[in-house]
Amino acid sequence: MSETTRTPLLEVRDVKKTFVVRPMLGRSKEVHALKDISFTIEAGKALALVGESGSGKSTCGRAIARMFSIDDGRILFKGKDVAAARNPAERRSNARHIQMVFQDPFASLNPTHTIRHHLLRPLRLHKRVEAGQSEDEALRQVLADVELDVDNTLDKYPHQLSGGQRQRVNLARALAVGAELIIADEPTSMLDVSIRRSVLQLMKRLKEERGIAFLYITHDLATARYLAEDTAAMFAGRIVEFGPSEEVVRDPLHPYTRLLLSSVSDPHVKINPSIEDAKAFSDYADGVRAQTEMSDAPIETIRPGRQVRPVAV
Amino acid sequence: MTDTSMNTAPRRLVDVKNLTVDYMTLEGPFRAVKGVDFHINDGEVLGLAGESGCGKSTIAYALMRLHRPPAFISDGEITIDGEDILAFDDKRLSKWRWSTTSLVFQSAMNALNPVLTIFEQFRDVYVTHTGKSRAEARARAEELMRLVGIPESRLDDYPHQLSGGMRQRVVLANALVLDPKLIIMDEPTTALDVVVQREILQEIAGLQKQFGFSILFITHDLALMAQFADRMAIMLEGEIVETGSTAEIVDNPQHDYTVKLWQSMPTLTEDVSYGPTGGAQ
Repeated sequence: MSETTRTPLLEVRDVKKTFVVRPMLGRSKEVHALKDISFTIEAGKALALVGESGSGKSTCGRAIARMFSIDDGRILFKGKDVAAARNPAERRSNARHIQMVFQDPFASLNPTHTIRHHLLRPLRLHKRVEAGQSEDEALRQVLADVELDVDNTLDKYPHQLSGGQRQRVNLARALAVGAELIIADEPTSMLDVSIRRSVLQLMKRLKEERGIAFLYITHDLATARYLAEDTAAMFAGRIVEFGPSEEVVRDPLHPYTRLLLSSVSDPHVKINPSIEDAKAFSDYADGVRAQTEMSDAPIETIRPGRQVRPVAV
Repeated sequence: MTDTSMNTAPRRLVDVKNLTVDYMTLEGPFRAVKGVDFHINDGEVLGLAGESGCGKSTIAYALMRLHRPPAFISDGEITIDGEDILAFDDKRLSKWRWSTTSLVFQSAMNALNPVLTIFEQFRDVYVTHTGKSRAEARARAEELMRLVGIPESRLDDYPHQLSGGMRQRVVLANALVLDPKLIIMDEPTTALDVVVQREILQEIAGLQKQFGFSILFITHDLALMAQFADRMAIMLEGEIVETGSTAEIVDNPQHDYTVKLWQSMPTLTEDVSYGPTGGAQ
């Protein structure tokens, strides 16, 4: 590999996914969850996918983690197609390097098992205990990595931990197997406000100090800016705007990104309490959504690293 | 707040003194609310903020007298619109609920009955309380649907046929059906998307301006609350640690915990931009 064409850690190229919904009654319906999604993530960097629910951002994360197969396009991890893994060893290696952390820290841990069990299983499964190191030492190392109490956490059950601690266990589980890319799907949205920042800080530190890449899926542009170098705004299965987080927040080019930004609460600005204003905002939001969904134009690159999809007029 | 009567001091619609709520557990009583005092004036929006488990929803339930064992209101006084709520018997209570004070829950899906149409849910409340006819209930329901910006034809839909935002609007309309003086909103926008959240908040602000009811607005999202509340109260472990006008809480919070809450979320403008140490804008 030459210096000029360095392979990114993850490359997503023209990925498409259509789900067919077959209701009990009525005709089946096609849902285009992902349409021509392309982006790259470098090692030690984070990309934030922002958008409303139903925009396809979680589907995108799940596609990369191979929770289902895609219809078209390619997902390359270190230059290798993840779908092309031919033997169990390769598949296991992909699974090991691409890990997910889910939104709900309560549902993602088994309530009948201790934290020791949750962390030891992946360590054993992927043979991650190094020679000369006892399992206990490996566990303590993993706990220390996510800043959990090394002495008192292992024998606790999930219900004895707070939401923030549980999310740390989930991150620890990903680290235990040597994740290089962590797909974090709204990891802080179910946590209490006062601990969200500390979990974000931990992720930021893992990114900067351990070189772990993150695909950070969120609806919160402020945290996207905090954690991720790049931000991609998604709507209706498409990326509508892509660029450095700072620029996307300061100088949004797409009306949908502007709509997302205008919905972020600013405590210094009072809401104008009039029914007309409420109607005007709703109409504005509906208008932007319709306008965004209508456009079939391919995304345009304005300059390297900055893309925006033209809107229908 | 915008009262034009001759009284200079606004009337206290809600006056809570030394409210104490205990939950009976196997290890003995757990005090969830520890002698809390607060008031809400006529037409005022009071924001109550705190983390999960701090007792803010317990206060909401106490104001509606919804607590069932093992929860007990063990001490204190609650006066709403000049009446001692804690002295009500069951009959008085069921008449009073919804007509003077109504409640909007966080989860709109759970607040609506999935096997009844939207209209049936309106009719249920309206006819039970007023004894009016079905046709009158229909007229009132249509009026409210227009008010929250949903086509009247959707009255015959079932809750699952509506989007999350629409459902929350229906719940809001349902809370207005008897023209209450106080609406308690327990995390009314938390389960919603960012944009929809903003739409609903605009809607609530508009309705409040138009009808002048008071709101107890409960959320953990301080920034959102600050955009809307007249005064804010910050709760920590069953106690209100700080109360003040929204401007005071935003720009000059006194309690360490309030400062911590402000600093806990990154913002769009600066890394930490609120509170005394921050430099917002």
